[in-house]
Amino acid sequence: MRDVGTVFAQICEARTGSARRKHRPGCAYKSRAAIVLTLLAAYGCGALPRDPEGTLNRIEHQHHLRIGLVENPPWVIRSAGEPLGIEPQMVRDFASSLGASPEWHWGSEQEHMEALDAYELDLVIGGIESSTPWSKKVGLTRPYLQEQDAPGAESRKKRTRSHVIATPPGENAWLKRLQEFLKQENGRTRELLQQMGAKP
Amino acid sequence: MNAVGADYDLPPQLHKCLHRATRLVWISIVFMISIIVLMFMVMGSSEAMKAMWVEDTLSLVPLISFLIGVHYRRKPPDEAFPYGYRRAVLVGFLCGAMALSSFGVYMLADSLTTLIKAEHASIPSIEIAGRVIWMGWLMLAVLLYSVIPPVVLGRMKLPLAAALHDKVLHVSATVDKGDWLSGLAGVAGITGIAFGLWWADGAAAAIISFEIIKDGYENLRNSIAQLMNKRPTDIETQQKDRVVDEVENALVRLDWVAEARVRLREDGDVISGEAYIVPRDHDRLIERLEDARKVAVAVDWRLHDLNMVPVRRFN
Repeated sequence: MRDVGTVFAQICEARTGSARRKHRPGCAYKSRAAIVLTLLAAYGCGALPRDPEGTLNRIEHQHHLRIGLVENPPWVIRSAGEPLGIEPQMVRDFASSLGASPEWHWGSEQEHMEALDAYELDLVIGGIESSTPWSKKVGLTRPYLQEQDAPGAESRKKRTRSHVIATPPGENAWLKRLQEFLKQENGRTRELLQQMGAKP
Repeated sequence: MNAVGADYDLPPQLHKCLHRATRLVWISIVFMISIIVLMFMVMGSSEAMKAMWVEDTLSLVPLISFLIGVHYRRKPPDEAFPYGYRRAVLVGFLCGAMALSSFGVYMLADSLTTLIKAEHASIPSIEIAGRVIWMGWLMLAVLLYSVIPPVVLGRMKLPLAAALHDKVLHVSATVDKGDWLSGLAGVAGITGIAFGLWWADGAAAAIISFEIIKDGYENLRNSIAQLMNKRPTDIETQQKDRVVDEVENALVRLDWVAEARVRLREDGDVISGEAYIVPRDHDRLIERLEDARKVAVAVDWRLHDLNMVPVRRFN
């Protein structure tokens, strides 16, 4: 049996040794090189970022898109058949760009945001604004449209409304794909808006 | 009449060091502010970025404390503050250390909560020059930028801190030098998110919070020790400074001194305290004590305001 004291001394030696190693200048450079390499590798992979829960992948393979609708004209208009309004039209175009068919679910904002947080929906639309209190819980696109409040007679201050679409939290590839679509379709969004009679 | 302490000035060869150190600190502050602003612009909902932002903001504390110290160093003692203003820096430093530690604890709790609740950080993309770019890449770029200047500046500050024996500057230099570790954790966190590992963000934030707490604890210990008049310690090794024994030896070597004991404390970079001397006889005692003070102060440039106290014997 080895002497406990010797073992302890060896452990201490190893500890101080590693502490000293930390301060050796070469180490910092090596780690910096590691950072740069990781970065290059990351840029090399066009497939980044990825979704932790694989939303984009699933939609591309299963070809259907689960959308939560919150009634809020003119953005989302309820009708007997297919939903109407600016945002359902945008989402229909987005779904077809992915080769997927939309699956509509009507409900309240509370229900839909909770479903989004549980990855039971892929998108929620309904005139959501970037200032929504749900912004901490779910993913939001950057504003696809900003409009000024009409200068009304009310005492309320004139403010900018930034319209966004909500996605499940942390699904960054999915969020990026949606934003790329929104950027491409920017002109068409304005067209839609004018058709609906809203003033951007 | 009031016994107001004498003014103190650095030896001429160290004026240059102080000047260089002050300039380095200003450069550091400018870099840190640019890092803090950039970090704030891209941090989004990433916990790791938030932790890095807190860490970088708090690294301003020793820098600002140092500048306060430089300011008060020029102010001579007066009737209201007969021991001078050198300790002002310690008060600032203590407050900063408190803030640092409590923010670290808060960030640690925050990041562990997101891990336990399995919160996935959403990072959107922004449009730059007509291209949609994921903000995560911008975060990585800012993280890299935030690591390199402090490491370089930290390395430049260390020798100056040793020469000036300035503990605040030394803390700033070691914090900066250790910054790359947190930076690496932050890069790992964001890269993890890019690869779809949501927990990487919270884990990186927890590691960074540990670093913040470690820095905070180190600073707290240092400032409390100085406020409690701990004996002088070596700036690098934190061991007992040789100056205590050297002063004692210098005094004992005087032929009229039978015994001498020395008690010293640090006021920032300056060392003050008392030397108790047992003389062999009482012949010309006042002149001899004045000589003894000159001999003692000559041991090290940091010695200032030393009191020579004659005693009959030590118990």
